[in-house]
Amino acid sequence: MDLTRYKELFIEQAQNHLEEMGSALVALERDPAGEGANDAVAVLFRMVHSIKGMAASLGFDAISAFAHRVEDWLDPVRDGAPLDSSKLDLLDDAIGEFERMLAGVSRDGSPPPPGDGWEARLARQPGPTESAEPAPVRNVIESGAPPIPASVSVAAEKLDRFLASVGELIQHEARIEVLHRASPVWDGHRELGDELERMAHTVRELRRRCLEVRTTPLRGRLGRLPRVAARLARDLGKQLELEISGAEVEADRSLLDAIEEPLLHLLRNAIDHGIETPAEREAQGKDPTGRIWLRAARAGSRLHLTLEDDGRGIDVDTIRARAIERGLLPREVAEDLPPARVFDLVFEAGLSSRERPGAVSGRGVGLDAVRRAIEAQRGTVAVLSRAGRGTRCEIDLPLMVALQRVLVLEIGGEAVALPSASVESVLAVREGSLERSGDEAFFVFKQESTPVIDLGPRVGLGAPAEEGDAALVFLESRGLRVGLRVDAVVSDREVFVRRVPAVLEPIGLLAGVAIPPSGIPVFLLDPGALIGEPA
Amino acid sequence: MPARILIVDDALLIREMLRDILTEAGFDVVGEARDGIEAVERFRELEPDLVVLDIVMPRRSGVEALCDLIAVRPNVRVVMCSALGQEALIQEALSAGALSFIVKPFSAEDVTTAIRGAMREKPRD
Repeated sequence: MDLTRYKELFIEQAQNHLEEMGSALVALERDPAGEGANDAVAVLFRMVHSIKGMAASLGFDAISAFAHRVEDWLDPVRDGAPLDSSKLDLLDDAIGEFERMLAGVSRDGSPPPPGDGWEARLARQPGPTESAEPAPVRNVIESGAPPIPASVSVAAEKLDRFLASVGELIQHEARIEVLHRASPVWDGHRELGDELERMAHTVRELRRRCLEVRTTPLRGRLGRLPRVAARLARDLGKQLELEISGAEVEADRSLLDAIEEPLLHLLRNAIDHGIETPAEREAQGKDPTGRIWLRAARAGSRLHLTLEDDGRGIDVDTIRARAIERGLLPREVAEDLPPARVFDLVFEAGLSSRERPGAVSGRGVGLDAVRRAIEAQRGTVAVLSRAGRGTRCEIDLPLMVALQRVLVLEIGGEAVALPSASVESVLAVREGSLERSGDEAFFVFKQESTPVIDLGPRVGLGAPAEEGDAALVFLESRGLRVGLRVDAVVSDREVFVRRVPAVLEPIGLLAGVAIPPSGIPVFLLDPGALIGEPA
Repeated sequence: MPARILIVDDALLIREMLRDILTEAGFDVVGEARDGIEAVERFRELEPDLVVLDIVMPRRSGVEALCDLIAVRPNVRVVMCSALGQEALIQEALSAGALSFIVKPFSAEDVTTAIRGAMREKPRD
């Protein structure tokens, strides 16, 4: 039997089950005694039961025994015992415990035992008659399943090295193809060509598998959010609906790992400080149920996350006053600051727009950490808000995937690259067709006068050729469009992209270093930085 | 001719394990279903010799599906498959007409013994 494959299947399915349990819990948090409650309890039971069966079949006794206890604990609930908030908390914690054990399976090949205190917590479930009889404990028989082979989990660093090697293999393969095409025909040329074609096929397959290893849908990382939200809203006496869209978007695992906590923090903030109590909301003519939307979308090589609430919003003048009071800005600067920049201040350490920081998350406290975490991934975070209407937080991250399609451009004999996905269009133009107004140049593209930047000087590659033909590369991002003037577009190809070396990071314009088959590194420019305000 | 078997379980992992064990043992796994309703649909369509039926499933449980299968073909051979804790339901299924049962965790031998046994049983009229 292929136990490795079974193990992977188990982890994947158990995670799906835990997600379903999470959704069921959210439904129960919202309406513990309503019409859907029975269905939600049935789902909880079935999922725990299924995890038990799967875990037992693979000899993960700690998980199957724990599931068995949870299942027993659920029995009276299935028979109609009311679910109060402490029981919902227990189930929420149990999901967390399952997640911890699954992580153990994934990391070490076997689950750790359940944490302390579970024995007592799971024994205390009163039955439908509210009797304090402990739930009956059945013995779990010795597992007859064969032992699981040694762990196949891999340290992230090793995986990265592996992926880097695959990236290099892809370059070599592409380079060999180029050389083969350029080499004189000789005996065996054709055979070599056939063999190269087979190799190219295998390399492509390897590439696909590599990307699978690297990326994962957001769903897995967002799974906790609805439960955290429901629990927090309940604790704070708020009514809340959280809508998540775009959970199917796939992104680099390491990126998702890095932004999970910041997202959670922003969500907690929105619930704690954004969403008002039902009474406050009704007094303002709002729906007593607050809403939070979390949207994820992939735009080319970037990941956009938007977290929006319809809560009380942030008052610009309060932040302004606070910034002055805290000495973050001189009064005259703060007073002239446009609102968008004022909102930026919430990410400064030491700014709190509320007198009394909440028990859960004082606004301002920790938001600087959120921004640092996002910036560490070369991302940006911005807040927009209207007092009384709500707050929107926009996170924009480069999807640093090792293999990217890039457009290689030539400027003054040097090559630079842009992620192809962010390029809207490429046009060959004569110099005369640009409209110039002072230092600025424009080109009418899609009936719109679009600013044109001379890419050479912008990235420090010398002055543009004043005369002669050029190519315009149009980038589009979040409704903004800009044309980049370059000498020529050399190629559009898939290359291995490395992280920007630390020494070059301060330049800020770079998204990575692309290594085309020629082997000569080419700087990959960050389109977001080019479209945004000049540094 | 090897016995033609339909596997019904909501967990893909269990279906895969059963499929591997049964294929290895020389049975012909003709199909899979994920719940009690799919089970009956696949059963009508594939006409298998034997059904391995999970007990706890969405939409329609194993015991309910068993009754549906018997209604379609009274002499259907069914082996119930369940994790611990469903002893009462296994009993119910056996009295309703299931021939045998497998308890998760199962070994390859548990599975093949239960199924060979069920195949040897005289079909009811």
